[in-house]
Amino acid sequence: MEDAGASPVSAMIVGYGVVTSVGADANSTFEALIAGRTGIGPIRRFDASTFPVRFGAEVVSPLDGPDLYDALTDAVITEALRGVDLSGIPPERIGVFMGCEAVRPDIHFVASTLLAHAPMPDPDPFAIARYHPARQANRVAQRVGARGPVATLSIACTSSAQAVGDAMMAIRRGEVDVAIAGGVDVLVNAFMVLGFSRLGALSQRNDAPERASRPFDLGRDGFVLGDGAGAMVLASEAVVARLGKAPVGRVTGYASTCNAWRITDTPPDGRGTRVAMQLALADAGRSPSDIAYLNAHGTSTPQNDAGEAAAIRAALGEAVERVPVSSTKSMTGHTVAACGVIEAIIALQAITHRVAPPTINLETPDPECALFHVANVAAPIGAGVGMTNAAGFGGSNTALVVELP
Amino acid sequence: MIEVAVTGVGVVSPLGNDVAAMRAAIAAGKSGYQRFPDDLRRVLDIPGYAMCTFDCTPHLKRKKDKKLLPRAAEIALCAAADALGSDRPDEIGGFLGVGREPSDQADTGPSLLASCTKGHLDLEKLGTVGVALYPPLAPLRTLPNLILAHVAIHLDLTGECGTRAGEEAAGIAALVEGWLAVAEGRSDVVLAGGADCRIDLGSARDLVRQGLCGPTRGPGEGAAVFRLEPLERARARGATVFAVITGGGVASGGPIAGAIRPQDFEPALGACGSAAGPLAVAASLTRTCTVEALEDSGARAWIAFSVPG
Repeated sequence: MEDAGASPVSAMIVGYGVVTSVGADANSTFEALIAGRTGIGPIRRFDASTFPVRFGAEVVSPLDGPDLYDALTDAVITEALRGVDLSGIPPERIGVFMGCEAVRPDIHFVASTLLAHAPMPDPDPFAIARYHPARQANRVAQRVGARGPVATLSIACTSSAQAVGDAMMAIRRGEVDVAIAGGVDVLVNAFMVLGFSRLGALSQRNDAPERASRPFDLGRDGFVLGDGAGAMVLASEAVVARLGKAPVGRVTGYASTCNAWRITDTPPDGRGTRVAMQLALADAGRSPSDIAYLNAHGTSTPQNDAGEAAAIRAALGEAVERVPVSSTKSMTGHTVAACGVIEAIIALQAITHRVAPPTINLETPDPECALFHVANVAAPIGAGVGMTNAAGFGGSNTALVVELP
Repeated sequence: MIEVAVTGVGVVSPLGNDVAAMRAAIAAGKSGYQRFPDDLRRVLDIPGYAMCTFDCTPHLKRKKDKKLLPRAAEIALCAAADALGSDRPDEIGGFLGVGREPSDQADTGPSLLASCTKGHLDLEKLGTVGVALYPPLAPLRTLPNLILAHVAIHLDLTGECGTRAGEEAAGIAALVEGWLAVAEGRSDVVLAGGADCRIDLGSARDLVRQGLCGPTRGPGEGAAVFRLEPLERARARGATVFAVITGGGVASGGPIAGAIRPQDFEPALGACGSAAGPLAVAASLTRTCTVEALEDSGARAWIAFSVPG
């Protein structure tokens, strides 16, 4: 591969928004994480009383399905755009990059369409469009009047991390002046909970849901499905002064790779994640010793955490002894298409406030996951850059580097 | 930016599984439609569907893996393998545009049927009776990136990869991303294109409900994948250069309620102008072809090629 060289051009972050099971906005989410408060509890959205797994990290809402996706997206976009004036930016210079997959299937709808060749239950042609992965990118583009690139990235757990990366690259190459990047997902859904539990991917600690997500712990037994959304407003250095709001950070490095391994798990040596981390650091012009905090993908599955820890050790070398690492999925659950952008924002908040949120439930660190863990309680961190990993079903890996302005 | 050549093309279509066969069929006015099975015609008022005939088995690392692949992934794998050819460097990237989901979830039928009470799904029963029949891979089959993931596994794609989800514009949007990955020096060799399969009952239902299929128009399936690499690299290895990419872009104009207007492509042209610079201008002055796609949602994508000689 040709050496493209580290680009000095970064994308300025002028705003961000987050909704998770632990907080209705970015600040309350970060405060909850610093306090070690979990959003994981018994499922309330549907009757899971007989399911193998009966808990999740729900965003409490009277809405469900496409309506909930819309509401979560609207909330994070509103928060991210607060105080940002786009009126001076030509519409064709605004892009939208959303990490989304189709609205998770309504199991009652699936049943009604599959059973006995039932007549079509809903003649509304727009019903299909409401479930489409591209819906949120198109809604956001409409809302802000964007006529630049609009992209929907559907790469499972790396979707929104790649959305942020693609947005940064569009700014770098001068394709847009402003890019809105984000992701949304609602995994506490009967179809997904039942399927992932049958796959053996979910923790089955029904007796103690709050202790179920325990990344890097010896007793981890799977991940916990969650709901959430996140968004960033990115801008080129050339126009950021025209937006009426001081930047709060920068996205400086991005890379993605593919494992070519298996659909359901990652290679034990974590090679795809390692290469993504190394390329992202090189892209940012940074070295491992520059990292002040790493928000790991850390799903709490035996395979992911061991492979990711191996990847982190290989990518960071000697610096691994000093780089604080935590997985906030221990509290937010796994928000799949949304987790990348959410965790990039958490990494930025950590380096901003010089405090790293912990991995809770890390009672007995797995020797195979030896890292400099921020275990159970938040910890102060030094100055430096933030980094986040994402790894997806199917074998995709993404790493992002964020910095202060 | 690095000049990017198209050095391989793989096609799986109802009209043939290579470019020559497909072109010949089109030139001869052949149709790829087949009659819809009678039992399904009773459910959906669709005259036929355009189904591909193919076998992905030669491209699998292990034949037993075939059961893991949704049909769209099988189609994509065949097209990607043909596009890739025999020159296989260590690091290959992949970008694929796909439809909504790779599978129609039909395999959940037995579990859901066993969990119904008086014709309605009973979640309590699903957790006690239907759970044992519930296919573990059902949630994974809903992930759009699984199509490319299977291609990556069987063709050893370890470079930059991405899936663009959408409708008509997704394949070209993926092609644009692949072009940029090579043009900007992030990847040496990339497979990029689109794949979709809409001939199953669930997808056909959706298309009917959207008004995209009906008594005179049926669903289809297919894939097309291009191998992209730097022109200089292609020449150095003596590869056939089918075309050079001279521009491309994606843009949004907001929903336009199905009416395609020439001015709807202006933002895309503008967006590309800054990306491709003089190349895009040159594209209008030399032997080129431009492919454009537009979705009702407002998403649109275009890419331009210059054909050598």
